[in-house]
Amino acid sequence: MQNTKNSKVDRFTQPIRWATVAPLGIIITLGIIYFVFFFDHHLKGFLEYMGSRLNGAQVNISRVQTKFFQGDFSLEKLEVTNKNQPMKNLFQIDQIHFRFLVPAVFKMKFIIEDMSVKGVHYGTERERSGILPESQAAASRYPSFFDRVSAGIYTKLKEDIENSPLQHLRQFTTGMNIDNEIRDLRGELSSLKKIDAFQEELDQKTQNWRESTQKLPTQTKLSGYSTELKKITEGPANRPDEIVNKIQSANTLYKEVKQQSDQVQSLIQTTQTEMDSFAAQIRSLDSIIQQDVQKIFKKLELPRLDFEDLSPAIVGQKVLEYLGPMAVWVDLARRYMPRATKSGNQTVVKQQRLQGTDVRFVAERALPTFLLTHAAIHSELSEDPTQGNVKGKAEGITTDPPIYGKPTVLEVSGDFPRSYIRGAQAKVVIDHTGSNFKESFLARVNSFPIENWDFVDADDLKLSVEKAYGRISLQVALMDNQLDINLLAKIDNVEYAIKSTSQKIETSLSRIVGSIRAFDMTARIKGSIENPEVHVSSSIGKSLAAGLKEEFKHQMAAINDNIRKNVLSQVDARKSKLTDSFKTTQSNVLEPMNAKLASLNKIQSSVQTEIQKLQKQQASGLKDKVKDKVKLPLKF
Amino acid sequence: MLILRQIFSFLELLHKETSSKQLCAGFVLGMFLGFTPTLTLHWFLGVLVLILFRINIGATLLSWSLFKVLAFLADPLFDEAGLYFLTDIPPLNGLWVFLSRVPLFPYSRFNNSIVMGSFLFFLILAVPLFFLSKYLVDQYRQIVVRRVRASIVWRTWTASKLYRLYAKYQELKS
Repeated sequence: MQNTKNSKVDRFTQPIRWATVAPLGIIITLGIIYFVFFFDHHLKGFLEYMGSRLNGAQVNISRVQTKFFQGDFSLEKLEVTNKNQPMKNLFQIDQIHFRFLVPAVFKMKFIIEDMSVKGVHYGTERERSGILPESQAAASRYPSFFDRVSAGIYTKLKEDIENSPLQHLRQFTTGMNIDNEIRDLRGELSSLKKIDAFQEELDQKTQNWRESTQKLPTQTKLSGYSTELKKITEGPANRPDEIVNKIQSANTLYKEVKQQSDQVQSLIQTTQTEMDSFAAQIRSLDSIIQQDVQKIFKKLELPRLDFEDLSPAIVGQKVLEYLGPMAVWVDLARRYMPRATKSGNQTVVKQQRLQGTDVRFVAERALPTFLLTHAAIHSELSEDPTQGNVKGKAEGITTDPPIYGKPTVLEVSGDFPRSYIRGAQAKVVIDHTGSNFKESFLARVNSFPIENWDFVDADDLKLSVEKAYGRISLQVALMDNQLDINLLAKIDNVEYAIKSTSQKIETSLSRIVGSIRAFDMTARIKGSIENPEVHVSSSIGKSLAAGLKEEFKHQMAAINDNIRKNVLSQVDARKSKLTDSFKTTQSNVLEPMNAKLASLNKIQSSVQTEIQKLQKQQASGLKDKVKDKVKLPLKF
Repeated sequence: MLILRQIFSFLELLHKETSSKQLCAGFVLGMFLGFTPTLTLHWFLGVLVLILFRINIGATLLSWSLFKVLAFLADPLFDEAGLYFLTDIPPLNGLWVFLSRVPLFPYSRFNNSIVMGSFLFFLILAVPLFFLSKYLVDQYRQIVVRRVRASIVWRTWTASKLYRLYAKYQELKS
């Protein structure tokens, strides 16, 4: 009993819980079983999921096999869906194989020294559609870099696309019967609202002006001035003191009348200025009416034909489609291949993660966390018509370019003769070894087939290139926040598809584009990522603009007249009422003011005349007095 | 019955290894697990220590959850301190390069600013926390437990059916 108790005490005082060792062993064994039997399957699923998110359409893998202790990885039949044609693959690779350094894995590094990619196919048919469910597709939308670039470009292109006459051509067929639609928009006419506001303003001003006229000298006052003047002129003025008194009275009267006259004058000037300003407002109604016409024009989605070149509207979207996938890769490269930064006196690589910053030290013989030193891509023509001649290499793909010290280079060239793709070349250089992000991309395809290239895809009009052959050259240079993109494409042997609910439009467009069997297009995007300068031009854009202008000019003029007439019929009566009432107010206010001013001026002038007369009289009286005084001594 | 047995086993596990040193070691280990971001090599080692060594699990879980909440608030501080240690002290650069080449060591993610910062804070706080918790545990045992045992709530609990069931289970087990 004592022994049992002692052994129990020993068991509790021992530092290790031996009972937990066995369950731990079981967990570790289960882990090993998982890696042996299930890991490859889950890795395949993970790669498919991540690939699909990146591609925006399904990525499928037939088989993945890893042999960890031999450092071996192989992947069979990689299918990448073309997201624009979900029943076709963008490309298919028969086999990818590489070996990785096992010791490096223990140092949390994944180093691939040689990789081979075999059997590249283009445009293979899929057994099932590769479209993604909406929830996953939303997650695969382009990330921030593309958002920033496209936001800058879209702002400029969006307006062109929205205003494109091709989007609104149907109105030419219904445009002559738009009275009902205009009637609905009458409530929104700015000119009517403006007239109402002016009328209200005029009523207020009229009241103010009328109140001002109340301040004018009354008729009684004017009569008083006349009576005062009469007294001065009619009273006796023989003696000098009488004359002096009269002059004083006249001067006082003159000052008072002048003061009144100045006040009236000033009031007339103020009123006149206000009236002139209001008259200018009324005149501005004409331009507001014109704006209303334009507004209705836009609201009715009537096509504008004042474009010289429709290229941004018809090929701008296509340019963005070309740039989109490239921008995705740039974004990924910038996110997962950080540049070097200086911290203190050390060069380090900082990679911002969700939590904290991962610091990697640039030291001699240091290895990046992930490195693919070399990958060879090789494919030869075979019985399979989708398989092409492809040669290429990828070098220096790494998560730590400053540690590896060499830029990432990807070069691919190839032909797919049975798919009519010839002379395809691409070279990508991603240089994040220094403290700046630098990326360049050159691509050229000497000939490739084009199918169903939409220019316009509206409800009632579809204009597209049904079949053609293209040649394209794309140069992209990016440095930090600056980009310079040049795109040149030449399209030959063009066959168009035109469908419209209106026979007239179909015929007109066929006439315009029918003779254009080849065209070229250029795009230049330059400047900062957020606000680039975009210039898109194409011969077909110019031809379309000119052709539409010519085809629809008469309809355009008729619709314009119709709208103008409609607006004027609403506005004219109220505008005339406003003008008339302003004119009446003008005469009602200004005429009494002017009459009062004239009376005051008349009195003022009479008083002045009387003062002059009295002053003369006073002067002649003094002369006589002096004469008398000078003669007196001579009599003695 | 099986569920009750599991609950009792867990309660028993929580109350085992109740010497003040085992409790304090539990608090310190809990701080380590709470501060250290999960899925790092030393975090797994911490869990292994908890499973293999006779450290009070209840104290560890309590401290773990408390310091996990604190770690969320202190992350910016960890980040700044870790980044300073990793990048702004040149003499340590050689050490970091050496550690990055030691097999398996990089799986600790010591080069992450938050991992490094949280580990530094753990090192600074471990010893003070050990002695502080020892003092608090002693105080608790001397004052609080005596008062709690004398309280009506405790007496009601010990008189309850569930407690009697638990006591019986313990008795039968022993």
